Amino acid sequence: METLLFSLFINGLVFSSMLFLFSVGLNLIFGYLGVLNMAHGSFYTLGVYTSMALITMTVLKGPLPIVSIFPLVLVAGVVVGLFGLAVEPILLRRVYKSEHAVQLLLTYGLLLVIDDVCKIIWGLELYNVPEAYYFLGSVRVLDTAFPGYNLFILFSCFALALLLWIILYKTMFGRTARAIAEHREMVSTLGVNSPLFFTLIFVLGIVFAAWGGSITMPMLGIFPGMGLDPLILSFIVITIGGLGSLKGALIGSFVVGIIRSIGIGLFPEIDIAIIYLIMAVILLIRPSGLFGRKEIVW
Amino acid sequence: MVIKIGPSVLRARLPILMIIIILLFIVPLVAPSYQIFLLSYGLLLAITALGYNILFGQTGLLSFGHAAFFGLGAYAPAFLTHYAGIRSLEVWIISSIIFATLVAAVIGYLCVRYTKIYFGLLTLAFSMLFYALLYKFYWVTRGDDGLYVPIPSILGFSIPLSKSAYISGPLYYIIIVTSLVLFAFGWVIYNSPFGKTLQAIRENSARIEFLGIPVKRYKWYAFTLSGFFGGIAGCLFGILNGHVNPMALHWIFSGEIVFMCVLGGHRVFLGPIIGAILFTYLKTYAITLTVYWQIILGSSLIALVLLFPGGIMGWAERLMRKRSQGERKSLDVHT
Repeated sequence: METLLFSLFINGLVFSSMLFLFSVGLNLIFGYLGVLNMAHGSFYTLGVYTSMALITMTVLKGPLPIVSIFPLVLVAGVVVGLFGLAVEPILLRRVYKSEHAVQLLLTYGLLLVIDDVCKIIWGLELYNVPEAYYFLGSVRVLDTAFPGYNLFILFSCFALALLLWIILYKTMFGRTARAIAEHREMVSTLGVNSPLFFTLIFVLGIVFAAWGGSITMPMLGIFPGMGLDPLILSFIVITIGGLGSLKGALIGSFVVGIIRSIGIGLFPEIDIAIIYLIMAVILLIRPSGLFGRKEIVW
Repeated sequence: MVIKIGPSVLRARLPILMIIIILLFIVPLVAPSYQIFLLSYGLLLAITALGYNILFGQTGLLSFGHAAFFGLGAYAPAFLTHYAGIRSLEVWIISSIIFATLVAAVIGYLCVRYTKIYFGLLTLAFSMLFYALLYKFYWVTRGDDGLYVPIPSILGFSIPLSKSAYISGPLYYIIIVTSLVLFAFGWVIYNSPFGKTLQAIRENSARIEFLGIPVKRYKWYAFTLSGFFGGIAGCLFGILNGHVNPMALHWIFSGEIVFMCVLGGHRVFLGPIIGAILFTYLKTYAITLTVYWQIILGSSLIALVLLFPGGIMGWAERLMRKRSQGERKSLDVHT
């Protein structure tokens, strides 16, 4: 029983890491831009496909050694982020002042389009690229064997969370971005190019979504439209944790990931229902989530 | 901005209305059964969207969970057939209404305390809770496989027709009559003092509160009413489709309902009806045209939101207002 619980816990932790990368990006965009970005799910999907394509081309059928998988999955996320440079100025910028329904429909339309573009490029079949997953072998902890790749996921998630914290709280960029979120006109009069900051924050957000996909890619079955599941789960994460809060995204992903894993392992009948129930209860007790504030500024 | 559509407008458009109604009634004589199925489906979605728009377009509350009431309305006949052996249309409709309206009343009571995005997320959570329960309790609901809905009897008489004959015959007329009655009901709500109060709450809820009107209770009424519309549409959808599964409660369907309202124009009474029917055809033809139908649907959604944020009816109305202003200007010149 203990070993079962322990392995469920570790699996939950791995899933939480993916969920954290995904929802911290969603929360970042919501916190600064005020848009709940439905297209986030498709950037996750793009991240998965891009890292699959990169690894297949350069490692499995190319000259690079298998170790280069690890930098490559990170590069894939950054590549997807480049799309954000076009999406934010062309589409998103026009709806910042519109009502929520309009913003949601726009980003949902974007999600449908990007998902179908994936379908056109990579087809409808299910892919699997587990080489990286097997390459690290397994690690034994407390009589239970775990794939070594899980450790890589946990480690990189931790490192990326640290990176985001440094960017937002320890650099001039982060300080300026927070100042813009607090009082846009004031900062603009100081000569800051605030539209550029909105673009960069959006790019940062979707890079994290893509990392959530690209890093966990080797353990997933890959198919078009796979981003919808993490999208809906991350809605739960950010409502539990609090809209627009970094700490909230961390705690929320942890709660949802662990409960999901234990639910699947022990109570498969009601796993997802429990998560929705928790979300509803938390929203009813604390509508702004566990760590959310009334006014949404990080 | 308040859009004025009073009884005089109705009287002016009465001939067009009568022609459309007569056309709707003679459709089964000429159209193939697949077209009738599609039109029926469009009308049921129109009922759903019209009900949802009481909440969304009129009161200004964006719910992500409206599919729940449609889906629960559709599951009621399936449960009655499988667990009570009841196959009567009257009992089905009444129990769908009671079921969906009661659930809407309870969820609405909990949700209307919140505004903006929190309201949306809370309704999303509740609808997905029902989705997850129906999906997971396989031994009761048969999960993903869904439940079969047979042809019901009407007033105790069973109907010895094939499914396609039933759809293009009795069921079509039931759906036409139901939707006309509910559209009229929706129109009465839209123009009643109650509807005007909802629209005033959308514009400025703080002021309405100061007038002594219990804003939350009005929002709750709007929520319950929208569930009532969804329940009836869901019940008839179950019969039309012959089969229900949990996807009828999924948030993607909730999102499509929002899409229908914005497509037609959620600030105009006719908007959701036109949006729903158009959406049905758009989606069906996009699916038959290509496997990449999502790209068609998605790019039309983006174009709609960026170019016609007021929807089709909002756009048409602006066009008409511009024309009437032009006429007035030319009159001014003559005098």
